[in-house]
Parts: sequence; structure tokens; C-alpha cells
Amino acid sequence: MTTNLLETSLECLPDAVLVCDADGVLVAVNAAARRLLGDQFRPGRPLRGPGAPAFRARRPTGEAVQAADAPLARALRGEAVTNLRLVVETAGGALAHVSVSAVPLRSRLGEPKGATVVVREIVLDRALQGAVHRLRTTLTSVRGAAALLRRSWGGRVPPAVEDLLQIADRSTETLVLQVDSLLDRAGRFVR
Amino acid sequence: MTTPRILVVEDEPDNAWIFRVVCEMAGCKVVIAPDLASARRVLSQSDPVHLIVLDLLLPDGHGLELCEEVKASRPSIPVLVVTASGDPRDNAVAFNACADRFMKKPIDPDRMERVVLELLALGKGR
Repeated sequence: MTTNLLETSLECLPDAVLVCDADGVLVAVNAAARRLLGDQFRPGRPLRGPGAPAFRARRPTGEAVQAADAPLARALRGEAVTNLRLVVETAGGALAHVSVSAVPLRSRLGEPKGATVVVREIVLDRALQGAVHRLRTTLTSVRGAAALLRRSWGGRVPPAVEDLLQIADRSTETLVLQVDSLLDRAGRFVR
Repeated sequence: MTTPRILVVEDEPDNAWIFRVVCEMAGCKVVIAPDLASARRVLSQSDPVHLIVLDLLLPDGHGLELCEEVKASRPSIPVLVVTASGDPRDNAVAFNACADRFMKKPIDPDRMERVVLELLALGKGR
């Protein structure tokens, strides 16, 4: 009865959930995970070594994630991973922006028993994306103009001018952080 | 020795001007193209292009169309993608399309100059 309740609950979750044993073999995959990642992620399939399904992920900056750095591999080594942003290839070949959390599973005696991975897809509002694009484009001009003006003085910037340039630098940095924070918060709550 | 020639594909005039100055500081000649059609015309000319600085969201299409064309027809030309996109999928797509480097706006001009010089050296070795 308890097992049925847990399995039913797992199937109903909107987030993709994958559970594997200590050897990295899948023991549970919910419906959301099958939709997102495809049928190649199914119970009994090893997630590492020969026979492992292809899992291509990149960091938000574009660099590929190596197998040893994947959230599941880290959790199997005993590390908890919280809200790691990745871009993953989905079952249909499209790319999805996701937030991934993974935790190691242990017995009561602390022995490694496997890991659970939760994958949440992030869909950002188009209006927000447009605003971010305009802000970053404008900030490129402000930051670039200040930096190039400083260089045009050839290392002999008058103190009064340097003060003004530093105001421009600080204001730009504040806005860059605000934009990144806005995206981060939107990504955490918007599906 | 030939002065390197850089094609900057950027539709926002102020950003294009900043990129031009950065590339000129790196000792290069610069051609600006505000859209994909202009960029294709520049690439079809006989004057060589040694590096492409490429924005992604352009008035007549996505910059990665050009990136893929260049990688298929002239793979020795390095491509530096510079974008203001807030969608991380664009970054992943840029790497999948074999862009050599990726920079997020707002760029730091000093860092961009270093990257331009690195990519020109990379292009020479191809």
C-alpha cells in the first residue's frame, strides 16, 4: 500500500524524478522524466558506463558538462546538488533550460544506497527575455564607452574624470547584477 | 604582414561602434554588417575575413544561421558570438553550432580585445 502510494505520487509530480541505486542503475523514473528525457531513461538501465543513455548537457554559459560533473555522478559520490542550471537535450531533440537538484541516498547506517535527481524545466516569460535583451544591449554601450574613454586618456585620467567613470562602472555593475538576479528569480519560480 | 580584417555583425549601432573600436585597438581593420544579408555580401567579396564577431538576434534572422554557413563553407574563420539573450539555450545552441567563443553582453572591452587576439591566433593555425 505504501509503495503504491509513493509510486502514484511520484508519477503525478510535475518535475522529472529519477532514482538510481548505488551502482548508478535506474530503479524509478516518473512520467515527467520520461516525457522530458525519453524512454531511454527507464528502470534497469545503467546511467554510467556501457549501455548508459546519451545525456548531453551544457552549462548556461554554453560549456559542455562532463559525465563526472553531472548532478547524478556528484550525488553518487555523496555530494548534494541544489538548483544547478543546465541546458539539456530533450527526448524530441529540442533544448530545455532546467534546474537540477540531486541528493545521495543512504541507509540508516550511512552506507551509500544511490541517488535521487529532480529536474525542473524553466520557461522564461518572453516579455522578460525581451527586457533583459534590451538592458544588456544598452549596458554594453555604457560599459564599453566608459572603458574606451578611460583608455583614450592613456593612463593619465584626470581625477575628476576618473570619479565620473567609476560612477558609470559601479552603476553598470549594479544593473548587471539586477538583471542576472531578475533572471535567476524568474527561473526559480516560472515554469 | 596583412592587417587582420574582422567582420562585425551587429544591428545595434552603439554596440557596433564599441566593437569596432575594440577590434581596431587590437590592430585590425573592421567591416560592420547590420544584418545577415550584409554579412553574406561581405563574405562573398574577395577581401579575406579573419574573424567574425556575431550578434544572435538580427533583423533578418538568427546569427547562428550565418555561424553554421561559415563553419560549413569556411571553417578556418573563427566565430565569436556576442549576445544579450536572456535564454541560456542560445548559449548551448551557439556551442553546438561550433562557435569558437561566446561572450555575454555587456562585454568588458579589455576582455573582448584579449579574446579577439586569441581567436585571430587560432585562425592562423587552421
